[in-house]
Amino acid sequence: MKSTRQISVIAVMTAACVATNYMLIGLTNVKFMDLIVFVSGLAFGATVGSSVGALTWLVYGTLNPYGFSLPILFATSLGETIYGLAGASFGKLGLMNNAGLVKSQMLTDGLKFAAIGFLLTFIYDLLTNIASALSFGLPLIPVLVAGIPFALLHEVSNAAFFFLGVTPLLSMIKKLPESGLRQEMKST
Amino acid sequence: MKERTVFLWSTVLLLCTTIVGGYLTLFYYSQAQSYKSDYESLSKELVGISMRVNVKLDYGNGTVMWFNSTRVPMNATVLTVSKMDLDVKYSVSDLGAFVTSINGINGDSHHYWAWNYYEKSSKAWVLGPVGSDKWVLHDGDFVAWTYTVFYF
Repeated sequence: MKSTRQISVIAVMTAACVATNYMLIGLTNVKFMDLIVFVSGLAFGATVGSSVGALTWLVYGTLNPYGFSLPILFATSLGETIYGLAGASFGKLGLMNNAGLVKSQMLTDGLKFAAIGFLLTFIYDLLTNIASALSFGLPLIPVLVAGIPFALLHEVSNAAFFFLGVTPLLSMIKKLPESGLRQEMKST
Repeated sequence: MKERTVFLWSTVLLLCTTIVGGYLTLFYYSQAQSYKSDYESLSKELVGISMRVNVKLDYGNGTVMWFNSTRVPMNATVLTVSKMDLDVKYSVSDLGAFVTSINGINGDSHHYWAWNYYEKSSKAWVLGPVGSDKWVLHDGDFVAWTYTVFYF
C-alpha cells in the first residue's frame, strides 16, 4: 500500500474509532473500537492495524472524562495494537479471502470472528488489568476478580460485535476502490 | 485438512466457553467468600446483643420440624422467636398471647397449640406456664410448639 493512502486509511479508521468511543462513552467497556482496529489489520495489514489501535488510545486515553493515567494509557495503547496485529495475521492466513462472500458460510465465519474477538479481548483485559494493578500498587488477584464483570461485558459484547460486524465491514471496505484493497488482493 | 479446521475452531469456541465459566466461577466464589466473611464479622458483633435459640414444631401427626440456632435479640420471648421462624397468628388477653394458628394450622374445638420449654436439669419438656409472650428466653434455650388434643 502506498504510504499516502496508508496514512489516509489510518486517519479515517482512527477517527471512526475515536468517534464511536465518545458516542458510547456512557456504556463502560462496550465499544466498536476493537472491531474497527481488528478489521483495519485484517484488511490493510499490521502497520495500519496497530497504528489505528495505538493512535486511538493516544487520543481517547488522553482526552477522557474518566481521567488520565500514563501507565494505563501505555498499557491500553500497547494492548489495542493486539487487535490490529491479530487482524493482520489472520489476513495473512487467508481468513478474509472469502469472508462474507459465501452465504452458506456466513454463520461459521461469524462464529470464527466472534471467538477471535472474545479471545483477543480476554488477552487485552488481562494485560490492562495487570497494568492497572501494578500502576496503582494494588494486589493483583482482587483487582482481576473485581474486574470480572467488566471484562465479561467487554468480551461478550466484542464477541457479538465481531460476529455481526467483521464481515459487513470487510465487504464494505472491499467495495471501496479508494481502499486499494482489490488491487492488493489480486496482486498477493 | 477440513476435519482439522473444524477441530481447531471447536477447540477455540470451547476455550471461550471455558473462560466464561471460569470467570463466573471465580466471581461467584469470591462473592460467596465476601458474604461469608461479612456474615462472620457481623455474627461476632451480634454476640453481645443477641442469642441463639432452637425451636421445635410438632404437628402432632408425626411431622416434626426443627429451627435451630435462630438468632434473636436479648430478652426475646417465645412469641418473638416463633414469629421469626413460623407463620404465627395469635390473640392477646390479660393472660398474655394465645397462639391460634401456626403455619396455617388452626386450633379448633379439639386441638390447640401448646408451647413447651426444655428443662435442662430434668432433661424433660415442660408445659409453658404463662403466655408465650411472657416467657423470656436465654441463650441456647429449646422451645417447642405442639399441636395438642384437648383432654376434658
